[in-house]
Amino acid sequence: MRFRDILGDERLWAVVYDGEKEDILSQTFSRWMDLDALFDFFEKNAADLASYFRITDISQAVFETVEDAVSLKALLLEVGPDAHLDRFFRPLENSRINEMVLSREKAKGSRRSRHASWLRLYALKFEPDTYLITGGAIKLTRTMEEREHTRKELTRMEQVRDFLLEQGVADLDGFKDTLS
Amino acid sequence: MKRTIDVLKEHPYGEPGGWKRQAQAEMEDWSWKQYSYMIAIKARSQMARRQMTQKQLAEAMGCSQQYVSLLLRGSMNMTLETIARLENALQFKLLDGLLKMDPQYRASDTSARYLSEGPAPGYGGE
Repeated sequence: MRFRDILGDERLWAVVYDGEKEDILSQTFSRWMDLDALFDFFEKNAADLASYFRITDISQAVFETVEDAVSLKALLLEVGPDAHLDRFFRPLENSRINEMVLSREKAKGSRRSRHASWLRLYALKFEPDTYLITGGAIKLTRTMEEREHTRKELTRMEQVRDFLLEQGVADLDGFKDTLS
Repeated sequence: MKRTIDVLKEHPYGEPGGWKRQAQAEMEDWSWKQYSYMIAIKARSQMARRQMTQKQLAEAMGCSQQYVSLLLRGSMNMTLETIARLENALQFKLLDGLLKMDPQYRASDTSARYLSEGPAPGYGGE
């Protein structure tokens, strides 16, 4: 497992998983811009799209995904030294109150016009305003556990945590707290 | 015991900030690619409506299936002639009502909400 300093300021990182030639952030954006993959995804998940978002036109869903992905990428490019990444990411668990080491976080796309964005970036927060992106997904259901492709993102977060633990990262008590 | 940042630095990938430079170049291309994507999405929608395969579209356009596949990925800088051939083959005006994506405006709008001071945007669900 390797890690890419995304913006060059050591505040935003992305995992490069073993056997992969690209970091996971680049892979995620490529997937969100790949029309073959998007049409395939929304055809397979048409029932979720209709029931959760009341959208039956797959072309519309593809268009909105591409538009939102470009907007999200543009937003990351605008992140300067004074920007607060803590305002971009939020705890994965909406009910979490306490700060934890290596906590699971999410960032959403920006779409607001007709419905909330279904794009998600997933990350581990390891210091204030400092994040490690572990993956991303199109989330159409209420919880991540409901679908295989979002469950996979939960697994990835655990894999990255395990790797960091094996490398001897500090504050094991805090780390254990996140697992309980 | 180590800090997480030290572990990340011990397992580096690429040049720091390399993603940003690459993404900036891609965003410059987006000024024309947005139209290519829109045309490709509308073409795919029309193909589905007409139950038309890529092979049939290639035959109607008088080109190879590989070429059609590239067109439909939205990454080709199409000439006006190509667009007209695509429209004729689909019997559909692809440029009518073509929406324009404006990532720069949307990004500024978003960053104002996410990255500066002020109330955080609402978050619901995972």
